Amino acid sequence: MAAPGPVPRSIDEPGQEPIGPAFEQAPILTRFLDQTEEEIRRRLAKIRLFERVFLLERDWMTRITMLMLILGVFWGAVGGFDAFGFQTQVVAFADASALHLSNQEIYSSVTLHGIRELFGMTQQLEMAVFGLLAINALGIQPRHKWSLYLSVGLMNASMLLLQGPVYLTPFNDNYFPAIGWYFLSPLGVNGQSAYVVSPLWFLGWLALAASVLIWAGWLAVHLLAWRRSPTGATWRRFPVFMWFVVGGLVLVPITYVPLLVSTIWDIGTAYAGWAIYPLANQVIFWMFGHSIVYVLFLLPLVVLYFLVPLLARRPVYSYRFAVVSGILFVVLTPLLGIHHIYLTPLPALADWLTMAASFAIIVPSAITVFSLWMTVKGVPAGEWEWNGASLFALLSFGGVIFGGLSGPDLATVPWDVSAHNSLFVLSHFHAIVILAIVAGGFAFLYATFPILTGRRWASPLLTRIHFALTAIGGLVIVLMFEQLGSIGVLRRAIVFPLLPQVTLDQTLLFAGIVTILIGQLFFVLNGFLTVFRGRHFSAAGLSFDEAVRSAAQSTAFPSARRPVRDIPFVRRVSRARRERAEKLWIGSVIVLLVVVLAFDTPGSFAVSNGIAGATSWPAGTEFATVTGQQYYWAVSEHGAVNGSFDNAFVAYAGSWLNLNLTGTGATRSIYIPFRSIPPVNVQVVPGSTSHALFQVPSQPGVYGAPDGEYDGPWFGQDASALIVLPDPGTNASLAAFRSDGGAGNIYDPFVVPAATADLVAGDEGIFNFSVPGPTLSAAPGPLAISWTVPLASIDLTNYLVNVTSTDPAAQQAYVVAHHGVLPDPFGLYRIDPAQGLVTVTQGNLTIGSPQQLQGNVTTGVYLYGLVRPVAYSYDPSGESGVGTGLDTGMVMGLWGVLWVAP
Amino acid sequence: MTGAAADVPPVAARHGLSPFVVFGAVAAAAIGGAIFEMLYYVTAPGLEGAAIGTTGGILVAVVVFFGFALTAPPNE
Repeated sequence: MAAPGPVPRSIDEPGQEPIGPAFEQAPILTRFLDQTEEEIRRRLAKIRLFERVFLLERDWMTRITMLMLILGVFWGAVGGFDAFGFQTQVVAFADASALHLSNQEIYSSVTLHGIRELFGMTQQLEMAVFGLLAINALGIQPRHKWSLYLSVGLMNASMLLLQGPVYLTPFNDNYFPAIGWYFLSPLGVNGQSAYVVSPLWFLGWLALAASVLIWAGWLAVHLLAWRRSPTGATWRRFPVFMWFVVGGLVLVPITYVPLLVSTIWDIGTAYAGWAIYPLANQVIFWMFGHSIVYVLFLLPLVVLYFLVPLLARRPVYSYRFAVVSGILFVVLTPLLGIHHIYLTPLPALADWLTMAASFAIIVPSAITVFSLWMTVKGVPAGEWEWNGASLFALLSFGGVIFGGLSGPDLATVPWDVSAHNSLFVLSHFHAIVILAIVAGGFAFLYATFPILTGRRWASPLLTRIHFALTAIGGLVIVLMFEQLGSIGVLRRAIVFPLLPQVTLDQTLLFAGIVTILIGQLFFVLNGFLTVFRGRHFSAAGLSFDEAVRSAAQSTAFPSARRPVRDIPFVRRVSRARRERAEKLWIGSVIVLLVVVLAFDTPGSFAVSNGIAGATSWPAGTEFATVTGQQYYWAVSEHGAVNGSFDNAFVAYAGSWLNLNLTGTGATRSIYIPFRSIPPVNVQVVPGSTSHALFQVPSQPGVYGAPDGEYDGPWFGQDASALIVLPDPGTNASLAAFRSDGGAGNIYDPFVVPAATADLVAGDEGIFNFSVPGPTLSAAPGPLAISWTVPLASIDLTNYLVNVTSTDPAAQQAYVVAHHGVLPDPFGLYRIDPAQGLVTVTQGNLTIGSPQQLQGNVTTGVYLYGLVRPVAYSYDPSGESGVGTGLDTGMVMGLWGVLWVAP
Repeated sequence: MTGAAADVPPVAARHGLSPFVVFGAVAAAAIGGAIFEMLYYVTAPGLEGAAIGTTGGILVAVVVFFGFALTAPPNE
């Protein structure tokens, strides 16, 4: 007889938690994940550090939100350190010191700084804030935990994927993506570009897009459930700030789907041989690239519309105008992407329409600034508390205005010619990101962290220090970017003019970065003290608004505190009167926008049509066919000057120069930042033809013309010269050129006498920290130019010797083994207007010992040095490949101009 | 400890600037900074033609902004 089996259990045992039938239980995977999570949580919660920091005793929504905040702060810190690392190299170059990072490391720092700050920190923080606000403000029961976990997992996994591969033994991080946070097809694409990133880069973008789309779907499901709930949910009870959250959910797919399209297109081109149309790909990419900034900009808008009325204890000045503002942001944002590529050969009408839309989006910003300021009009000082939340809200308010007002400058097509790719763009961008977005995020955290953790902020003093250093550091960064950009310094520049103002501004910029990073240490310290030592906080008996005020109050000094209780509000000023003021203001803004648009229209079409190609040319125009590669221009000229040059454009003073520009491998730019005459700034996109027709300066001389668009790790060396010859039959020294200030172009090479010049090459493979090298002046007759390429300058950061070993001494060993002689021709060449370059003397590039370039020169203009690019390949011990990345190119840096005149 | 009543002075201080004044001062400073940035472009001979239109519009807008804001009824 079989032993009696277990008594069958009824579905619901008396006294037990009802189980219900199997089909009503969560799927087995969910139950498994729940049980696993609970087991991990239970074990980790025994360790006080984890329990306190990750809030392991709280509900799952709180735990996930805290996890997102912590990871956001982590990526923000790492991304901040990336900026610190990059700027140390900039300051080293500015100080004429050696660089200790390779070009790949330097530019990957820039890339990962952007990635980590924008997405790992800000996007993740916004997801946490919006979720927390929606759940709490609307009283929603959070559900679908594992969808949210999946989103968070993909977000943080994407940060690791985007970082790229690294070799641990021997250590080599030169395969981190040196491509820029925004990557313009075909840069980085296998088979199309000389610089190729690993496929992990593209996978990272796919994971990022999936993460944010899943999160948007998760929140949308909750809002729809709220709307259908029987609790009386109605749009009329929808708080103002929630309209902006909903706007964000609409914008997220509009933003991230184009990213998926452009990335999948790049993947298909790289690995499946799909056809590529870079300009079309860039238009699609910038639908993401611009919209993402407004998606993130919604964070401070939500926070300000949430906090300002709450702290003022008054409703927003005009609910209807605020909602209209949110709708306009959503409608207009997707239309602005092209203002990032005004200077490409897109149709002129497309540029103009984008300029009009870019002006139009001023309207919702104008509504927001006016509404928020008017919301506090009439609030007495005794009812407003200055605490961490209100201080950062104030900073964010200022940042919205300050950053917002530099936007129209860049949105104006003719103005963009002088500003595109300069550090002025970064001034605008960092004003928005640091002073508006990040400040808004901190305002929210100071107002809600106690609600999340159940502990009051530990130290108002640490809060004030954090605020002060963030504000000061942020302002210094923004102002220094503006100072540098206004005079024409390019963004992502590790090679730049060593002028006193530039050196000072770069150093002050570094100080700003250090200041803001130190400020964040105080925030982190305050956070740790709060979770471990903070007094208990409870919202019991408080309304939601009262709880937020009470939470924020823990960051106020005792003497500054105000009562937190709600004050019954009786509306005395009618909506009609209030909205009349708004209507007059916005009506004025619209009129002004139309006037300014009309004023700027001729200039807009002139710029765009010029890039598309001239239809007539002044008599005597010099014509040049220009082909751009990574990393030089091949120039073929005919007209008064005939010949082929690399990285040099030659024309007579005051003549017109027409450039027909094409390129391969990456987008490039003819950038001549004149300031006393109109500048030249034209983008050259592979697969398209751009044009530039401009009158060269009337003053003979050598004008610098660096590539303006980042095209890979050797971007810094990618600089050409506009050589303006004196009229035929005349002589002109460079004295007038120097006293004239070189048309205000800071990239003009220094002028030094050839007789006393001592050309010394540095780590970057350029003479005297300048590319083109110093312009040498001499009188006709025998000439000897001293030059040296020290053996010590040959290393990983130098393109002159290909990298074939992971041994850092291998490049120098190669040079020694070849007796210091490299096969690249180094010489002196006369510019003959009839036939191009004529060799005066030429030898091989010699490394290690001082050399002299000797010849008998007559009046005229010459090129010295390596006047043709050198083939470079980075492949230590065969590590390079499609899986890790490729870095090749044609680089030209050790050259300059010799000017001979009586 | 719940709420914050115990940490608040018995009579809320009525001294100090109102938030309207403080926010307005910050707005003025931010606008001033932005205009300072534009001045370089409108004073550089090669750049002023491109910058004058937008700069002029912003200057007029600033005057209008403060005019309406200061005369608008309070949020009461």
